[in-house]
Amino acid sequence: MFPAVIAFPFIRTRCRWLRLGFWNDRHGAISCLVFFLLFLCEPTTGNDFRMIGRFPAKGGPITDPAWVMGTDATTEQPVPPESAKSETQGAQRVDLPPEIAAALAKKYPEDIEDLRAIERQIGRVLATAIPATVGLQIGMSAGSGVLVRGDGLILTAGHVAGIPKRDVWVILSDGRRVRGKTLGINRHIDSGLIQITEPGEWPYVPMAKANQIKLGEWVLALGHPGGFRPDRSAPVRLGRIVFFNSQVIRTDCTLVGGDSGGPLFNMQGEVVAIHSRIGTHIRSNFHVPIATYHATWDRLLAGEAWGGPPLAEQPAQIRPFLGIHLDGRQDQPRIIQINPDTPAHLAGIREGDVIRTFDGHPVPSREDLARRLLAKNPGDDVKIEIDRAGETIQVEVKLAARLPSFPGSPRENGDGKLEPPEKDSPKPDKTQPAPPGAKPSQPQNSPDNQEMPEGQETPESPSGPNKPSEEGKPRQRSMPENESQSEPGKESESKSKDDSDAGGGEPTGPKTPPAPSVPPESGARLLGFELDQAAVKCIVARLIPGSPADGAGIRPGDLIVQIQSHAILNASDLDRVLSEQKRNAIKIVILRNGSMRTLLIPLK
Amino acid sequence: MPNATSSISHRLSIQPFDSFQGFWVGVLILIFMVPSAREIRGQDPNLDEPNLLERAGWSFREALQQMTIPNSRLTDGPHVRAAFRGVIENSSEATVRVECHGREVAIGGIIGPDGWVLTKASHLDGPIRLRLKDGRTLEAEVVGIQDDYDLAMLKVDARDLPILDLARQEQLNVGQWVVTPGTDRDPLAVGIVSVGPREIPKQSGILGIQIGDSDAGPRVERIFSNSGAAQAGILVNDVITSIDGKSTENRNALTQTIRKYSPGDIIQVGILRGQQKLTLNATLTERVDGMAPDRGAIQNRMGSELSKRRFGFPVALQHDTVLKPVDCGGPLVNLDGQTIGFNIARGGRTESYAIPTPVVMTLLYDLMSGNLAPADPESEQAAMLHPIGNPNGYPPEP
Repeated sequence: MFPAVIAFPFIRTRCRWLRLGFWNDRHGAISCLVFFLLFLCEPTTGNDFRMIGRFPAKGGPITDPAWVMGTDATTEQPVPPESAKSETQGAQRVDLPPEIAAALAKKYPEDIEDLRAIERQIGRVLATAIPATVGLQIGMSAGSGVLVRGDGLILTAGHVAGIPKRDVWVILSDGRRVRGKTLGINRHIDSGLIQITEPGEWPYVPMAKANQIKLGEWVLALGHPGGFRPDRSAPVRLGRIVFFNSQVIRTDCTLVGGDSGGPLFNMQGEVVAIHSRIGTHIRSNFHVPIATYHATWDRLLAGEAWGGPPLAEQPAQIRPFLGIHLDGRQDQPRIIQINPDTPAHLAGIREGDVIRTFDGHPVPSREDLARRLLAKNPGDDVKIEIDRAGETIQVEVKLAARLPSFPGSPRENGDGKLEPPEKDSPKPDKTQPAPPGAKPSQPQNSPDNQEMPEGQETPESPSGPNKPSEEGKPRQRSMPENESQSEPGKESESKSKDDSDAGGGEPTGPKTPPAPSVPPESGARLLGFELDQAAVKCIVARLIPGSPADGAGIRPGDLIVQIQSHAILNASDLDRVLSEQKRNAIKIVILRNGSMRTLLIPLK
Repeated sequence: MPNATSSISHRLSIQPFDSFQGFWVGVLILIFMVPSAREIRGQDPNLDEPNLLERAGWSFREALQQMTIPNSRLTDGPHVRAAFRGVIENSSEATVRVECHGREVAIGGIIGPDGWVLTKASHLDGPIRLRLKDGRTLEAEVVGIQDDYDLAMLKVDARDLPILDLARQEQLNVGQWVVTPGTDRDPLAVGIVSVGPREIPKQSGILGIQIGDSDAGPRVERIFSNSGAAQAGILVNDVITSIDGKSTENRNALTQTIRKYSPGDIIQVGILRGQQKLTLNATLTERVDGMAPDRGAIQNRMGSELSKRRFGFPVALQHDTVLKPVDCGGPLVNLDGQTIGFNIARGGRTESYAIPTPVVMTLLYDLMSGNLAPADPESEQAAMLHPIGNPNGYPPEP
């Protein structure tokens, strides 16, 4: 570090130049490069957990939930990671004789004796690990999990559980199927809990303590790739921890679809992580660290869901919405069904029409249409050219936002409701009865919703244009030959989903600042509502009763599109525009249930 | 409730960690940000909250760490494989490289000192040469092929070859080490037994059409190019009346019937085209270009190449060794150096299959005696070059 100490003051002054924009200053650039190299020389590798944690505080413990959980955890009271409640009682970890421990602790096994030691220990771990590994079936899909309590508590991945209070089939290692329910879910880090609801004693394994893993540690991955199969015990894969931080563990235990939620065991038979996702490389297998389960145990157990909307519906509420179903058998975007009172319906588009151009761009395929559509915003006016029996017709459509009452919308999922970070809303909020209108998904509170026929679209279709193409098509008319053919839209579906995540949803403007930085005197607060922090766009999360906004008729779930003549794309737009208003009342345009409304809000 | 399905089993998503993009972005961010970060810190030592700059720094370091994982930390890295040197000392002597047209196509294992070599059948195409560990190359001929297990017995003209120590008793524990020797000092790959022996079911074949119902029966609505249907000359609007003489009244019956066949099978498709009745021969395939594979298939192909023939083995054990398809066909060895099976396929991202030695033993007599001899070496080889006539039903590996 000697040269670094010497060079440091020099570089600092130089780099200030660079920061001021003296791009062409060669000294600044060179010294910055030198600095960068010195930076690399800092001892960042090794087994020092704190150095590897993602955003460690200065000297703060990595187990602080604020770090473990990322942004949303800033709302949590620090919970000691070794919460007594998450301690699994009774489950014995597997003995580790000293000679085997010595072999495992080596950087790598050196001879046959080391290998035999590892092999013996694997056998002992599997004796308890295999019976505790379960398959999960939720709806049509399959995942894995692991029992960590005798009363049937199961750790799984957040995306396997999906939303709380869902019915689950748990398939035990002996093939028995028992019922369960999903509990809490942290979608941010991808952790979740499931409880078997049938009485019984279940085989289980202990959870490891938080933050005890080491780089290079030997681990075993279990799970049910491709779903549970009666003729196969959970396939065992051996690997080592190649990388970890507070959010994720990476191993070279190979994983594949269906393994999600399955356990990663250490060599004492304790669960150290839960399988979450994979990369293209064979060694890119990612797991959720057990520490996060400890840190958020009470919330998970209580059935809370947080950390973003359910994956499948992430940007649904802020996605532009046309309201059509396309023919999944054709590449070209031919409309086979139109939902009443949707933008497409209002614009006079009819069933049987084929969309030729969208916003001036030709859309030869369904995928093109989806991509073009997702690049727009709710409220945009779009010119569409359609082919109706050979005749070319121009229509203009005002795109809407996805309706909260529409199946697949975030608020539609029972108790797995979209939860914005709780920062601005003290917890008591949730225990109090919701004010009228707080749940727009309930038709009695929001008469507009009754305009929307429920169940016209299957719940699986969160995005208007593309997904319904398979689900909404009349299956009895045509059915592809077999499984892999039966989902011709599946790829395009996932693609367009990616598209929407990447750029479709929020093409412009800076993102909302990280949660903690929203000042209490924000424009929204002045008017008397709070924005949904999970959304990029301005969606009203809750209202302050009696405030101007409340009086003017703004309701939770409304998407703010325009103020006076200014388009509102995000929270900073809102703040800026509001601060510029000098009037006594402002005109605010909102989107609710697919239709635009103009409201007048008096300012004090 | 199909909502979640899109889907749990497949949601294992792709992470950006592997890409070098992140590296360069990190470099750029650092060059710009690090000095500022230092300054902010310098000014306010009590600053606890992570800011953007620090995050960038950490992300960068993590990306760097993940790109520079030392080999010694890997389960099948060179350091770990070197520990198996003693284990495979003898079995690698009895392991051969199988070459066709000068290309390595498989691994083989010598099971008889006078030149009997077992290997994976569907990889063989053309004249076969074996390369031994001691450097010798020997011409070999096929004396028997067992289709169900995709095993082939080769014979070379040699004596006193080293042979594998075959584990005659079934002593197989899930979780035990398994080693795949090559002809080098260190093994090709290592892993553990994932699942004990079981049947690996057949995969259903695909004709490559999309069908709808009509009054006359299942009507072809779309033909995928490069599919068996396209090659057979099936046309859109044809009505498929039968498969191999079995009548198919509707779409469902047709789907169910085709599903019973495997990729590579040739079926006779009865067709009504207008008033004309036709019978066409079509070869079923695994999947067809342009047809969206399910996400499971995509994920299974991520990270490693898979064998062409990898389904439909009456008995096989599953292990987690990451094998290349061309490294299949040879012995799978336990820590005692005994051959407990023969690698037969790389089946998916998480699985490789091996035929257990006790099963192989039951096949040896037929394989060696000529009972399973390829009908005519000439036509056999010709057939291998043309997938349609391939007795194995699978095109040769490239």
